[in-house]
Amino acid sequence: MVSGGAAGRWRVIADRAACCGYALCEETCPQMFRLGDDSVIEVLQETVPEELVEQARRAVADCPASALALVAADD
Amino acid sequence: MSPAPVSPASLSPAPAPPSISLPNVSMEIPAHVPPGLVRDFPLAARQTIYENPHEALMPAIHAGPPALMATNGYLGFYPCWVFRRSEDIKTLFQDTQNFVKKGNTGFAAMIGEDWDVIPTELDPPRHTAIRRLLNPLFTPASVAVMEHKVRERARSTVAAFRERGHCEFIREFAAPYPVSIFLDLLGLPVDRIWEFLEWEFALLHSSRIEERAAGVRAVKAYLLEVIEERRKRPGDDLISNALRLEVDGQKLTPIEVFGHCFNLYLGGLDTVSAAIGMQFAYLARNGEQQARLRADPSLLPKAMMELLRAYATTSHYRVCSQDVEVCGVLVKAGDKVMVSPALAGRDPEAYDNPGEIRFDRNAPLLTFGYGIHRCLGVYLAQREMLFALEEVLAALPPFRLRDGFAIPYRTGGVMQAAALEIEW
Repeated sequence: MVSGGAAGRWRVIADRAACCGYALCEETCPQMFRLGDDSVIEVLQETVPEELVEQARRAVADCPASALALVAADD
Repeated sequence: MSPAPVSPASLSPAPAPPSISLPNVSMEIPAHVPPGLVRDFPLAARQTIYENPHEALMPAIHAGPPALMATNGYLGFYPCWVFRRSEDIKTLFQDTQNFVKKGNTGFAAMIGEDWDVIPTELDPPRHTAIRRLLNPLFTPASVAVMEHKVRERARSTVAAFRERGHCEFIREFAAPYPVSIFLDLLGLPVDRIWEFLEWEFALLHSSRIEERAAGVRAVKAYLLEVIEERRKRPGDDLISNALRLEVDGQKLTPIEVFGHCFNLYLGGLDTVSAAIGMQFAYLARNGEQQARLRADPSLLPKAMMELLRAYATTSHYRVCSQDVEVCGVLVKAGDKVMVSPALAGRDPEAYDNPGEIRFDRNAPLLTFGYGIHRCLGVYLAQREMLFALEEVLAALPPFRLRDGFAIPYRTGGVMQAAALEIEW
């Protein structure tokens, strides 16, 4: 799910209960996402650096468990 | 581990009509299908051809309509819808409401039974609960622990024939390397590898459905025996693990344990071999591209992904759960639908000039599926393939097809080179 203003900064929200440990986010954007020792998602930086927005967007869209969302950082 | 013939002996005759009838599967084209969309579909037939199927068969499919009804699309014998565009295939993968998996592989039905191949034939919520238990075993971190052993296996496998100057690459590398690793994970005896591969070949690739059913029976009987042994003497293998899995405090039922082990067997014994075979067939046929990779091995990770796009081997099925329109055609409840990563990788709307291999293309792929059923073993598979490329290119001088050798390719649900004679 992606929402928020196009011009603003973005942050990622992860639903740890929904995460099933597919690890696709970690493969797509390792600077932003990692599976912890419990194989559940950890978001490494809350605000998405501008140069990672496209990668993060793809990770969010591709999450098989729909456990990620990208929202405007000032929400 | 003595190489026994698994390949050229299996050059198949033209598919015979099936003599086993599957429940809820008909040979008839559904009445609602516009006659203009009905086509024969050689890509799905269990046959051996001497042209590369991606290059020889796919351009014509992609020049046709976005949706067609393949007379032999489902399991190589029965009618099913084929959507050829990558975007539509992705949508179908994502739509787990309208396109379900229940019974889609047909393996239980072939032997007159009703069990699920787990997790691939499950739908949510049961699927979600079980994938959540299985994913941690195959994360990049879990696979990283095995890396050393996997690379060593690649090295020792190629070392056995490097001095000879030629080999049959499928029988001597593409099959034994990944399959022996997987048999280790299952705790199954590697010295029976050729027998296991014969069963796998029968159930996936035979042009006669009776032989496919016989393959299913052989694997089932063997796995049930092994499961009983592991129940008594558990180890740290994936079969013992299946006996420990619990959803909400409840162990899997015995038939679920078997269904899961059947899925591991299916997934572990064919797809990585097929992919490695396709990749090396490409390199043997394209010396200049092989030379580029030798000159700059740092290209290998992206080159591997590009070859996985262009020579994706698998096609899968979904069953439509309620009437729905896709791509302008009506798909009715009960219709079978092919979702083919192999076709998606050659879609000219998704990939500019898809027949051209560009090692730096770096394009998204559907080769490992998309959505909840994405390949469980994807990270292990990718490492096995990368190490195969790295170690074989390092061990062998530039190699080419043996003079006069024509590669026999199998079409069907898992496309592959049946044999690959190379020399150097």
